[in-house]
Amino acid sequence: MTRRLRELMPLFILAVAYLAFAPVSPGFATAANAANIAGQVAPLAIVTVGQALVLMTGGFDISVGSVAALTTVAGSLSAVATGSFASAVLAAVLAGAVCGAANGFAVGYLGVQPVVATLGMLMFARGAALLLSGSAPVVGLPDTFVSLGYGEWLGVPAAAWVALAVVALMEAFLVWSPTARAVLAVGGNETAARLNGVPVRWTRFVAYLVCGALVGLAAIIYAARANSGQPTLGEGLELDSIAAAVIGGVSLAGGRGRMWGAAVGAVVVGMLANGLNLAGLSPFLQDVAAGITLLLAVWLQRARTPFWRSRAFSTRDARREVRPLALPAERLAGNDERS
Amino acid sequence: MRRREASLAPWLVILLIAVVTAAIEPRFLQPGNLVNVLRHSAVLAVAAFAQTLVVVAGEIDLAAGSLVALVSMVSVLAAKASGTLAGYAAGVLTGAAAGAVNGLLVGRFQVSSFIATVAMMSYAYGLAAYIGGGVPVEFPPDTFGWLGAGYLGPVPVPVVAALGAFAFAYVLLHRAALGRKLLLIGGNRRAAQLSGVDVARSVFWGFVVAGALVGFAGVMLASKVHSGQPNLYPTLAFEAVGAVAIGGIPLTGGSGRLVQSLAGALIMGTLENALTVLNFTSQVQQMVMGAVIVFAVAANVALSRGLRRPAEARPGALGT
Amino acid sequence: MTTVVRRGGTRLALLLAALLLASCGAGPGTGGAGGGASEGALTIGVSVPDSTEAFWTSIAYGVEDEAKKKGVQVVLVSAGGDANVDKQISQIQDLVQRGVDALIVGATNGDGVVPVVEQAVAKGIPVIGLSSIPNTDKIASAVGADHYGMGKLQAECLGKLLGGKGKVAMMAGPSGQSWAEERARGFKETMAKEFPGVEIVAENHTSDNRNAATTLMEDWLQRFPDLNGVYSASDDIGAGAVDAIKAAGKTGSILISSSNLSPISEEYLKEGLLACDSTQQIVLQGRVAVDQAVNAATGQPVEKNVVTSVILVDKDSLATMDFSNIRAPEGWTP
Repeated sequence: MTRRLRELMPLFILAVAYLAFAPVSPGFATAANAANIAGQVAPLAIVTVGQALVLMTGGFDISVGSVAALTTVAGSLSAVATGSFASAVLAAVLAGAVCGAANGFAVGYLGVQPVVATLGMLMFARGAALLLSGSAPVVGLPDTFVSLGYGEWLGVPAAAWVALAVVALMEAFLVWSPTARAVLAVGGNETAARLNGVPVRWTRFVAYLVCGALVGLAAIIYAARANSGQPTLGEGLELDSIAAAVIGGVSLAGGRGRMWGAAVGAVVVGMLANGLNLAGLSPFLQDVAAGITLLLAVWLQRARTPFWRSRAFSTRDARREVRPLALPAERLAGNDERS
Repeated sequence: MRRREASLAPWLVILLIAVVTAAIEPRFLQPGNLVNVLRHSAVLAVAAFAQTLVVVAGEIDLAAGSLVALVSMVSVLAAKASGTLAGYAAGVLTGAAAGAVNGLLVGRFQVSSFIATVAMMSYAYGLAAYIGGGVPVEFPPDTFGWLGAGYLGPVPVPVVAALGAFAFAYVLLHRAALGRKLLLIGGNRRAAQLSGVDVARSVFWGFVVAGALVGFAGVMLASKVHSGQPNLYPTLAFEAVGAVAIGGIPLTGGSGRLVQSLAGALIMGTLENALTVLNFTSQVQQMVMGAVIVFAVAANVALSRGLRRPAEARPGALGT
Repeated sequence: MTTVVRRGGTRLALLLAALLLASCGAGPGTGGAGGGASEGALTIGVSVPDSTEAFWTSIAYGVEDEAKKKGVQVVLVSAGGDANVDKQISQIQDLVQRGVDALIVGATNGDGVVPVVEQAVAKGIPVIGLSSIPNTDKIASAVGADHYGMGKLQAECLGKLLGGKGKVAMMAGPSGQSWAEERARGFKETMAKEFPGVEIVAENHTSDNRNAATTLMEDWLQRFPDLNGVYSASDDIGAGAVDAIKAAGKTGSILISSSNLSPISEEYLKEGLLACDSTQQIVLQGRVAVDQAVNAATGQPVEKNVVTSVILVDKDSLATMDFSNIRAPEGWTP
């Protein structure tokens, strides 16, 4: 029951934030604004589920913002060269997957700590994005982009449909695919996972790779919204996506979380910005309010597992040796010793 | 013996960068340029010392980038009101106060230090901008520039200040009870708890001292640019984490010598200067820095694996 | 288990309280002009890239001061940096959602905001481009300054003072920003055409940040010991260069030019540390933009293109300078 409650917590937070803004922000509590928010958070939601996958292995990916910039440039350049939307998607997703694979290789196989490996990628991809684009936005994209960024279907923005599909696929992937369940096993108890024959390094590698590919997909939506490839895109995206995932109930310590929860977390982050904009708060105080609210939301949602067991920072955990293997299926069913 | 070999590695990296750069562009070795390297590394080094105190306990501090901006605003405003020394003191105190908030959240309320310090980053940025109405605070007293831009004979004051900060952090980390406790907590929190360490309290004080050091770095920066800037050195926290990691300190906590952070900061400073002196574009500079960070740490990991006897190798810890 | 639930409940209550507090605080912060929204009063949405920059603070002052005179309400949002194109797109969508009568947009990136601006126009909200102009002909009016001219003025000043020869390095400002690229282009093309004897030995895209500029200048002093001049895209970059050159005792032998005339540049011009500064009339642009926005919202004629003139300032002309159209009074906060 407690576990169930905790899984529903993102929805509670969403409801509370909605109720708090409704009376004070003109135009907030309308159907049109709901569609507006859905379109705005679509790319963040896609990045967040990718980030969530990495967090579940006990890692971090702080390079998502720069990789989004690099892939949006790669996709846009390819679209301009070929005039084809499909080639842009392919180029962006491939470029993202390559960046993710590099992160995954460094973390999984070279043993570099996730923060450091993805910090290196953060700097590298930003430089590469600026270099590839000549430091200027890439313009002249085919019309399909604007339809993706601003079109609607059944009153819901096209980008939101894409995000919805990605979240649903990832949730299904998490529940049904052995690889994704291995992700939770690795994040939950690495030694036990290893002893049970889970390919730990490979699992980590795949998680970062999938995250990179999803960032590439989100980059296409960013390009669609700006109708151009922006090499400066994505500052702060790593923090937004991690905050969204954590608000959505994904544990920073790894081993726990749901994809739909992460997506709801992204909606909370987007709605917060939307509500503060509509309310007309001074821009400076918006940063202060956003910081405090993030803290409160996380405190509310806080993992029972303290930070030092986060695999991103800790590879030596005395308890890991003695804790019995919690099978992934059991974790999903809620046999979580922490509840 | 072997440990010594491993800890020599970062210094060899600095030597390597210097030799390669000097071979291509001899002006790198001019005394004036070498002084530049030290001066530029000074602020990063102080931030890296702060980061070290937090990292050995298995935590992380990502707030430094915004915090130095807030510190610079407060420090210049205080200096304008009541003189240079008051300004310096106010800056350090602001840093310590922010550290106390972080420490309270992480130690007492057990919020992950990642989230707590990211939130601090957000509101420190907002406050820094709000205090000055979005514009820099200009014109502190003339003496205010001493700490960041002055000279003691031929030696820049910021280099002396960084050495002072090193001594201070060294004593705390390697000679005082607090450092021992932080290392113990980072190594095995439960064991630390069982052996009577008040974990929450130690983590709190670790963050307070780290905050004060970041405050000191902020004062050095404010003094250097002779103004309070709402957007001073946004990448400082990331660079400090990079410096600590390049120096060979595991972000997992539990071990680390302060001198490693010093070496890491010097590598970053030397590399940045070398790339500028070689006249690389800023984009290529960024790409090289990113690649070097990852390779340096990967090499470090490989080196320590190679040096460790197979019997000591723990199957669990190495794959991560 | 109940403990957990109860603790969760307390936290929920706290979160709710905090959010309510934040949203109550929003009331008086509404723009600073006109107080509460009275029936029939116009509301203008203003989206700027970064209100922590002196430039946009002065723009915001011009906008809000003029709006107050006209009895118009202003809702100001800031994307928090030139890089945050997507954030600005969301903010503009939010302002449209709020039902503003007209929009004033200073673009993070002129190309990036095109579709969202066209979307707003399609919904019947007139858009005024301000200083950094959205790159579309759907906007009702473009109010700006001649950035190319600002670079040109710097080149003319440095070229003349250097006697048409020497080595110059360029601190060209942030990558990918049209104002920075335009100014740099104006500088380079003018130098090439009018002063072919001046060699540009380095061009670096520094962020708009004094510390980064100081560091870069210190390294350049080592790399280019025979440097004669420095172009800087904006004041904070220029001030960083001045600090480094002053510390190296090379004031006078290396001439620095800059743009925007913030208080620090004024001081450095007075002290003779800065050779000259090309400036745009920042506050005036904000005022004109509000004029145009009100006209557009009430169906009166608007001017399609307003280019406010740029001015070259040096130590002598500084004394007679009128700042009221250039920057916000000291201590003013949006």
